Amino acid sequence: MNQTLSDIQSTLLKSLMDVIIPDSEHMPNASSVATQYVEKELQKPPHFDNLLKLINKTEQSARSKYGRLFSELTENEKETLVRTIEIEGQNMFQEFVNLVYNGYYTNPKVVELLGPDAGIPQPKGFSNPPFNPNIVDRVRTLGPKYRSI
Amino acid sequence: MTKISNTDKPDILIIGAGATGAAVAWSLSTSGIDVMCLDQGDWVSTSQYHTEEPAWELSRWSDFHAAPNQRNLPADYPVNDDESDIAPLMYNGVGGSTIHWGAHFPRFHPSDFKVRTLDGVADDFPYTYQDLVPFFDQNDHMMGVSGLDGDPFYPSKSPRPMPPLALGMLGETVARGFDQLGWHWWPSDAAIASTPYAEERLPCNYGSSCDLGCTRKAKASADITYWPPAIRSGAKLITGARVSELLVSDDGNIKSVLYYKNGQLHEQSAKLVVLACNGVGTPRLLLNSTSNRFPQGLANGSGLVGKNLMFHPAAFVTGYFDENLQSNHGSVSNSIYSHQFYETENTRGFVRGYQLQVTHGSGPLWQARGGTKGSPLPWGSEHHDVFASRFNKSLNIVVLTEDLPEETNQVIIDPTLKDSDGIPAPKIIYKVGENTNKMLDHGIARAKEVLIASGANEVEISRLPKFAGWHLMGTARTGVNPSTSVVNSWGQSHEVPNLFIVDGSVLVTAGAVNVTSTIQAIALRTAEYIKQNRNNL
Repeated sequence: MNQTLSDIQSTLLKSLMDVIIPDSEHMPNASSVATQYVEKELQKPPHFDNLLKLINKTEQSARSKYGRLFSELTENEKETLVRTIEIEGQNMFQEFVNLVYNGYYTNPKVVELLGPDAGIPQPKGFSNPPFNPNIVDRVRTLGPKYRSI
Repeated sequence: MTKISNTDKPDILIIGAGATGAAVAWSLSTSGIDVMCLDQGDWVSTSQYHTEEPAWELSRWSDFHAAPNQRNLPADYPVNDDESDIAPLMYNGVGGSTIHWGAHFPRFHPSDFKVRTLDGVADDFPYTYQDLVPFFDQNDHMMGVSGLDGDPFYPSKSPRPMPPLALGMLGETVARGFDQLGWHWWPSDAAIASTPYAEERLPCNYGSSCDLGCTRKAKASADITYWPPAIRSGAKLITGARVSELLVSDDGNIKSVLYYKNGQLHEQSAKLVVLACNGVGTPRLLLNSTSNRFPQGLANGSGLVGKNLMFHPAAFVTGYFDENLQSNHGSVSNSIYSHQFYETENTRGFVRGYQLQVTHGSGPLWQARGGTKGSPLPWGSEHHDVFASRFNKSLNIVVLTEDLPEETNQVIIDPTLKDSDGIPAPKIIYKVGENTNKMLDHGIARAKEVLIASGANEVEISRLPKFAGWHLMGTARTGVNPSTSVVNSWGQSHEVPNLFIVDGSVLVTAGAVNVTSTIQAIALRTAEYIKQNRNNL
């Protein structure tokens, strides 16, 4: 059965994702590239229930600590708050971080921005210069080192 | 449940179509012997590999996870590893764990076969390195090995079938570190094609995704090396067939095996049975095969079935560099290795030794989720900077230690856990020993030394990661004394004449190198014995 987030919950999910991976000069934030993946994965148990707990915890903490909604906090305040939540709910939080990383680092736009070495490995592969047999010259001079029996 | 009794009765029934079962099937069938093999898994087509898909890396944490408990595919059986320092890794299917292995292909050293004689610990094998050389060579040819002869830590080997894989920037960087310290290193023997080879195998293109399956067939796996010629020679392979029990007749020989296929119970007769189910699956099957004659489990008069389980306890020591090392340009598990600390040196405070194995990195998700250490990179405002300082700038050394056999380390039958066919599942009880712990500490310090000599600006250590049970050994050991071993020097059960074992279970000691080359050579030696003596078995 599909479980959906309310608009408010969905907005909070995106804010949380962007705390995990914010944007930078060259890279996008997580919500702009990984929301579709994360929302799809949330349908698999126990992700959805865990996320709801995480969202509720985040909103409650924002109100109790700052007296404001999470979305009204500064970026620094958001990160500080989420770090306290991480400590209190490590397994659940780690599951969320992995979800965000999974969606972000398999997104074609992100992979392209990271450069050709970050691309899909097959069928092209990567290039290497051929083996240079002279590179082992010093080691050959060590002589037999195995134990005779 | 009603049972279907199969009417055909092959000369040889092999259980397990992985590295050793496939080698035996090939050796026997190409000599005209009637061979049948049962495997609980299925063929894995290259189209099932994800390495040409945008989200290719996700399969590392799903259908190609190395641990069966995490992967949880229909062919997998659960393993209770709650009381084990190390989780067993395996793949269940045609080709077995060679489907997802790294194909690092060293041989045991000559000293590994005579540990008791040389160092006064554990036991000797009842055969020598030299006894295995013809089978090492035969296996190297069949698997397709790239490498370089002349390693000072081995007697001279026959010419390698193919030249070494390229070391790449990563390999050459760490080689300079070893050179600076004056230590041994050598290019890896790899069961990976460096040139076109055998049956449509293309050379490696250094995509660093070997653990997720090789679409080019550059990496050897038993499904593409041994099985095609075995099947052409008449070997019959039944997939999706999970064996639950071996049944014995009044004379103490195996008369048949029971297996489930699509939920239906079958009985298959055989004249001779060869077990190739790995160091966990083989003792599980023997311990599940109890009878009035064998109340402790089949072939277990010594009480040693399941005992003396050995892994290769490991540490990952990762160096980070300022420059881009193109860490993911290569084969995942192959670059160079050092055996500088392999043989016993009394001043080190431990016996036996370890291998330093240099490995490659992989894609961006692998890096973000922590690389070899497995702890995700920091999230938040520093994330992008840390990622940029890590991706393709790391170099990992695996400290792979020799594990000594201890009877308390064992595979038993879990009292409640069962697989999807209701067959009792195995439980692992395993603690890393004191000698190994000393070795790990020594190895970590040496790996750090060589990384710093190579130019690393930071070193990160993962000591004894749980998901490192690549090699499953010792649980049906070979020996000449029936009270201290399960099988004789030919892999034949001391108690059940028509039962042979050929997987890693038979190893007496573990060496400090990856085991596939050695256990396949032992399996081929056993196959040769069966061929030579088939009229008397």
